[in-house]
Amino acid sequence: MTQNEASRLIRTLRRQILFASVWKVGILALIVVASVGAASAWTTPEQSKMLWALSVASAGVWILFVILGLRQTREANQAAVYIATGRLDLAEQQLRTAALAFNLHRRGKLLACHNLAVVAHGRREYETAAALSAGVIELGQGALRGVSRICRILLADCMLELHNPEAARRAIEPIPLGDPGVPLSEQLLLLPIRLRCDAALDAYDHILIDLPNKVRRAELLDSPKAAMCHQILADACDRSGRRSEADFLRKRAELYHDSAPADARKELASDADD
Amino acid sequence: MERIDIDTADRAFVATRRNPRENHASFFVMGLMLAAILVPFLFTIDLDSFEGRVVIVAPWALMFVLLLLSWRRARRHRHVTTAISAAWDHAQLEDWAAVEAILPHLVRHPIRSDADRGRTMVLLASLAERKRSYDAAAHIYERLLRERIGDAPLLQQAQLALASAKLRNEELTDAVDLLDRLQQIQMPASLRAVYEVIRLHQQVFMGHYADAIANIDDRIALFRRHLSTRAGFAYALVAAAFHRLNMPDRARRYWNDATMLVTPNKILERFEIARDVSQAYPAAEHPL
Repeated sequence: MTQNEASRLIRTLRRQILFASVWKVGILALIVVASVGAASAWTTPEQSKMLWALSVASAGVWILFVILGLRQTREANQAAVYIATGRLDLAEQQLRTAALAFNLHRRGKLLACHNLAVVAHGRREYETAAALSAGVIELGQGALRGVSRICRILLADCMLELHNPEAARRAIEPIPLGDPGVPLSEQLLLLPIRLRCDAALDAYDHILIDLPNKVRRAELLDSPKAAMCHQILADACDRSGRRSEADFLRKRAELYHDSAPADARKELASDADD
Repeated sequence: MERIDIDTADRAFVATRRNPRENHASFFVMGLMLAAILVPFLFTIDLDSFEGRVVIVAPWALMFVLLLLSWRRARRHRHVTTAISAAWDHAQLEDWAAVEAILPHLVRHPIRSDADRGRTMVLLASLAERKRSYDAAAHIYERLLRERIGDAPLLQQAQLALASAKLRNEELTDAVDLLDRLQQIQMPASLRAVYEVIRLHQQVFMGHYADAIANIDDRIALFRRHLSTRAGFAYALVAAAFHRLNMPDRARRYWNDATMLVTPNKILERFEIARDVSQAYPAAEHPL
């Protein structure tokens, strides 16, 4: 998928979500009006019966769409298995279908779109992944907080790969590191990206805020990422004259993973993200 | 949760079992609703009469009850899932007091999903291990495996944890048998690294020091690649083996590496066997 295709997909989704909202309001209004009409004293028995049948049929349509929506959400989740096993072509095909199918609820569509962004990121198509992630963040509008947060982290990573640390920082700014409301798994995704962002922007003072907690979380990362985080934290300590902490963190980084020169560090982080 | 014994664990298994009748109320209301929908089509009812109005209103009222029941069930499920995730996060951060505060509420009520139930019981077993109730921990892992509660990765972890709990409970024959069986099983490299730590613990515990340091370079590479910070525990066991083989230089080096990653207190909490090593060699300093 190219960046243009991704942008087109997001535009289509925006239209479909608007259309689905109109449908949703329409069906709900039909159910309410037909039921009230059937129960009211001003309608004849035949009209009552017809309105009654209409309200039941509308409720049936609603239930049908809910079931379809659940199926799409399940398909979007099933594609995650293809992603995990590296079958990205199959995953992309299934996710495109799930994203474009009609659905009253945006959750299934946005989940599919998010997974498409993960596929693009896995293929190192960072522009495409960024466009899809930005689209999910925009269309999620707080309804899908968990997915939106992960998309922000993904977007930030793509922006770092595209050498745009300012945009990366903007993407993850609303997610507070260490907030108890953010699950630990997401904090662990966020930490290396935030540290890379701050390092790229020379915001080393920012890196040193809440250092013990950052180290505590870095300890929970897998070896290459833990090494990278320790190395960045060590650099930050070095720059602020905290030599003993810097030496300690650097030695730990070496224990985690073979030391990488500063230029290769970004590459390493990107590999680790995959 | 002062003490966790086998009875506590069994009570938790019973209480968290999914209630087979939990959907019966919803099915009953759904049946009534369908019947109420079909009534005007099957019988000639004057919809203008009082009975007619009741027939029109009834399905919607029943649907409201159904939605209310579903909402309550979904809310309870969400609440349980959030609590399990929070407890799991606290366990990863080794905040066991927080885990202990959450767990008693979780193990008193049915848990709908098998995966969530498995995770809860693993948390209970981990807490039991922290309290040195290794027999209770082993019992929990055995029941998880016997009743196949939880997903495949969790069950594989439970197998390894069972071997470790049996070893700590000094059921050495069972532990060695289980480890021998696990050696034949294919598992991901990350789990293989955990397996090697348990095997190393068994070898040091049983005095097979030469076996413990055979292929040590391969083992160290595996620990380093897959265990991240937890490799510190493995290095401590390696240091213990070298120390007992009277190879102080290598013992000192590995003890330094171990304590660089994990504080000596944490190592000794988990591996009392390393106490003499901690007394023989200086630990790395933690300036943070």
